[in-house]
Amino acid sequence: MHFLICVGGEEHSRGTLRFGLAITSALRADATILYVRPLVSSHFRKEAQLAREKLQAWPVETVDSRMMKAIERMLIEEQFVRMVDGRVDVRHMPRAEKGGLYEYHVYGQHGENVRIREREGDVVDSIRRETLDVVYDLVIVGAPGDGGRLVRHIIQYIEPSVLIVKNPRDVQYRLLLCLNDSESARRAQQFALRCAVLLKTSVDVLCIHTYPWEENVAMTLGEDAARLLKRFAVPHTIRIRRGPVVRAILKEAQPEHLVVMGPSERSSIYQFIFGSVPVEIGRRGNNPVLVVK
Amino acid sequence: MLRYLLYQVEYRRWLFLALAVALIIHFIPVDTSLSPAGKSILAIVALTILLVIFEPIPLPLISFLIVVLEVLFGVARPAEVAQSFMSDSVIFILGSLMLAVAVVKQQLDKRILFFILRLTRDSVRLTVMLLVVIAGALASIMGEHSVAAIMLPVSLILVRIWQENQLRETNQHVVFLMSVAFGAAVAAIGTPSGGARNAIMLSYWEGVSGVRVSYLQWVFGMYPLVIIQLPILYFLLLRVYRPAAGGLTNAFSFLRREMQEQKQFSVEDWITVSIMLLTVALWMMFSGTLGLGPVALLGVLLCVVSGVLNWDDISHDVNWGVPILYASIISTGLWMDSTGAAAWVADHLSFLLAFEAVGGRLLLIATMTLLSMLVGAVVSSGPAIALLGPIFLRQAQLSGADPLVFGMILVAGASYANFTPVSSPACTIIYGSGMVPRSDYFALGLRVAVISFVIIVAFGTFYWPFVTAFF
Repeated sequence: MHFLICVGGEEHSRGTLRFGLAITSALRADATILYVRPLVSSHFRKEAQLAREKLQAWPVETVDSRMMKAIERMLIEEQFVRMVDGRVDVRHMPRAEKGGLYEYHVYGQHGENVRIREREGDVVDSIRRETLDVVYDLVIVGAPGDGGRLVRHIIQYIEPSVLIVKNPRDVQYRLLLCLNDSESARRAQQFALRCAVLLKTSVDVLCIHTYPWEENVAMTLGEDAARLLKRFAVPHTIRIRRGPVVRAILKEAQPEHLVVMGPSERSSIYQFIFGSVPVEIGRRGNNPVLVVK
Repeated sequence: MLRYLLYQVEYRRWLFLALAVALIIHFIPVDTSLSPAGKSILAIVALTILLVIFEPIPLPLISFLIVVLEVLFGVARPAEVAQSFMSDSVIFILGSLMLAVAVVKQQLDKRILFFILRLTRDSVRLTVMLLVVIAGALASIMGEHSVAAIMLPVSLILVRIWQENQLRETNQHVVFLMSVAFGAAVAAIGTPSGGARNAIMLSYWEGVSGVRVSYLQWVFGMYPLVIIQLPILYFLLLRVYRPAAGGLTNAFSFLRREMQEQKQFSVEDWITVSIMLLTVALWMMFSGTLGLGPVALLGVLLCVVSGVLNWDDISHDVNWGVPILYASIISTGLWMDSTGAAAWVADHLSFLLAFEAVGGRLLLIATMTLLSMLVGAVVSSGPAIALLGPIFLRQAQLSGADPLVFGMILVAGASYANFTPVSSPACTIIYGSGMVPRSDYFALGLRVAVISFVIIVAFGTFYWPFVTAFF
């Protein structure tokens, strides 16, 4: 598996990075840590690229970005990278790529490939381009205080599964699996099962129905989920609730819950105008949200 | 498919907003003193400002949009629009960029660092001074963005060496980067070849006011300002960052092998330097008769014929977006004038003349300087000069002032408002390294801007009226 962890400012990203690295480490996935530098101007990108190319002709390490160095420091502090003689074990030295992209590769603790990449431009667009260039299984991003704009765009427009890291805490998270009668919810259930086994955690299954006559469907979903989790010896609880979906999820979510759900199956135009349940949970909730696509 | 389209709509929302603003201005009824074509060009100006600030599309593409809209909005016929895109200034910008490639191609960054370290040894203050002087001297000859590309590696190497010698982390290393950014930005107005914005003003003086200013006349007008500003910048850098006395002790040993390879000037280096000097000499002596563009292209031809530059280098390393963007912006400025839009705006800004009535010419000049500084800080110096140029020159006519003086005020004001990273090309490129926080531009840039404001007002009141009398 290959995870993409997106970080912003140095202090703001520490929690996101720590949370993302813990999951990446538990699942033994390769990791790419992406920092998106604000785009100054496309007008002078050629000169900036030229300066970087010139810098590579010098006999010095050329990590010229403060954030890249900060990420390296955080990786060392989290003991995520392999050290040799007190220095990070580097797989590829930093190099400037096309389009303002800058990257270098280091070895993870268990030999995983860890790439530190820097892109230039709009955050959502850069993450989107990154996921088009490389196949990722999961994109992990923080939730900045921008009124939920980033969260909405990431959930709506990024192809791979997305983990929105909100209020990360140093606790053993339990999964709050939100189910309905949809194909995307079934995929979320499979992914949650896998995560629960590897992370050795429990799952609270939440089946919500809006109308009384849907109760049977919700109960069937809960029973199916219970059977599956029991087969893999995952500790679990089943909760059947009635009411508006977003409100019910927010009410059930405890501080140590990681909310797992599928994406909305409504049309793009509907989501564009009215939003979707995952987006609302990502925006209004206080828990990390994993949207399995 | 639909999701992709919706994403594009959200991602490029400023483009759609700008187009909406342009359409509203285009269709909104205004008084008859503004011609339909004038109103259309104002719509395009509004669109350009929004697109330059928010950059929803790459800047050179804005010029494509300008061409399309100038034709669609009926500002002029296609052939006239095409003709307005090419001028001596545009050829000059193009030639200067090509010449800069010849210089950038040489290992100038290594030679400069070797030169600096040989002279300064361990003195950080002397290093800062040399960085300011060298960046300034280079930016007086070639575009400041090319200077930034050459000098950024030099300053980053110094930062690295400095940081390795520091026991605790400070932000003093930023002084090396800011020396280059501000040194180049401050000196770039010294000669017409220092930046594309200078060529824009030359173009406006000729197109709007009918005054042709030669390369040497520009130097007489602007270089004294640079000579005053550079030492002030040096002292401000020391005051803001207070760098420790030493810290570059290991620099020589660290880079010794690299340095030894760079001691000798090669034949190609000498040829490049000679051609550059010849080109500058021709600009100074014959720009009045030969123009600036043809001389720049002659220099490029000499570089290619002598083998120091080939076409692959030119086609690969020239930032083609720069001449394309400035061609469109100059075209817009000239249409603003010829359609009467500039005069209309100047009329509506005639309340500025009230400042003259109250506080005399000094207050009017101070207001003009402040206005150009504010616009320059928001949209960058080049677009600020391009958009305000025709208006300032018309304003000069209204107030009976010399358009040359008002033009110089605009160039200097827009260029010395470096309290945002977008204000000048050199600042933008250095900011792009990720090593300088935005707040540093404000801390240093604001001080530079305040002092510059006083100096520009003094120049606008005393020196420029005096010197332009001899043009």
